[in-house]
Amino acid sequence: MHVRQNQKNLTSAQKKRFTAAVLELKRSGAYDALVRTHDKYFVPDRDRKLRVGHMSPSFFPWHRLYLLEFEKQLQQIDAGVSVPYWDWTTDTSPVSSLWADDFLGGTGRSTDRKVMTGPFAYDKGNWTVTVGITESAFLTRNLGRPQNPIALPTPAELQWAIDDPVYDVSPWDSTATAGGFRNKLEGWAAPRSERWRNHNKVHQWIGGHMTGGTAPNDPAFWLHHAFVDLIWDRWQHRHPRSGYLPAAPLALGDAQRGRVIALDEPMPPWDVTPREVLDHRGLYRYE
Amino acid sequence: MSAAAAAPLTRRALLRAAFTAAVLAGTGAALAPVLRARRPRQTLTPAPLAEEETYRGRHIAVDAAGVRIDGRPLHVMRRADGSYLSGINHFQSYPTPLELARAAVDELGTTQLAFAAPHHG
Repeated sequence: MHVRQNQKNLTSAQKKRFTAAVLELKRSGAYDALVRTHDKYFVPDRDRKLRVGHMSPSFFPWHRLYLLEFEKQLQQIDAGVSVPYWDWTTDTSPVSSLWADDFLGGTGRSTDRKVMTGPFAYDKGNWTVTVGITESAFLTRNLGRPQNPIALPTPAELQWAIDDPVYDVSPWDSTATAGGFRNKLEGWAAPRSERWRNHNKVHQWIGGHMTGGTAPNDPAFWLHHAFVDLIWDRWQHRHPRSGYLPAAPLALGDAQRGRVIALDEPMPPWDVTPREVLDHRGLYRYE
Repeated sequence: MSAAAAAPLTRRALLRAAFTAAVLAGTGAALAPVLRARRPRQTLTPAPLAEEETYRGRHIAVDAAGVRIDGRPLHVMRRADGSYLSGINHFQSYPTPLELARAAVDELGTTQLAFAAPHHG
């Protein structure tokens, strides 16, 4: 069992080991295969197809498995490495240590959003984007979106999602606004004045690759989603009598039948059910 | 990837290549009915038939064949509420394809879309 640490508490040596393992995964080609997996499983909710990763109840367990896959591959390179988490309600500055040269590097330049600093800057020669939808082979970011400023989610905004005692509600998609922790945290459900919250807003705040389907091209993706994973723990702790929904496959005639994952249905590509990953204490814990 | 999954990607890529060649040769109008007929249904439904504009120096075109920025296709998807998502913006949606295209330009800066991009499985 290993510990996932808050990124702000990592020593320089730990940061170096983490980024070195990520670079090695990139060199081997395995990293780009993971990027493809994320893009492949992003199915929007108007499509009459199974949605496992987004706009659906399995948003949390699917990303838990996705992070575990990434972390397992990192640990094959360096057994002492784990995925750090970024608490975006407290480390809110585009110049915090997270974005320093010795960790993830900083924002992109204003013209083409090209990241110029840190280990993932294209010009360092170790980070060529191959799974993208633009012509650029360089990683892009636009921290805080200066041309149309956006703020990271506040502690109150996060708490608003955690306080909801119901895991998810029908129609189990991005339009589920009657309540539900999942859609409030994924960030499609929000007051009319704001439109986007929490997880979605963080993708927008980072900008560049992070706003698209190939978001994991930016290693910040993993630190963002480790915090999302930790938030699921906090929700479980706050509502010990609530559980994953839907608990059983949807009834015949329900428009979402076959399109969302119930508690005991397997999630591709791992063939693991949400029930099997409700508790991660045998695998890792958060500091 | 299975052959079944690969086939539509290839066809789409070919369509893109054909469309691009047509635009470059100035025969887009002649090919348009063919593209409309064979285009996957994920793209556009009612919306205005054709719109184009220059936004921040980039050429945006919206028509039955989809959304293009400087002649390059922008992958468009729909949410259950009918709003639009794109390959550039997966985590927020827009009421119309034109607003979607402008948001993509905002995010792209001076970068160009690729002619052929990866797609969801």
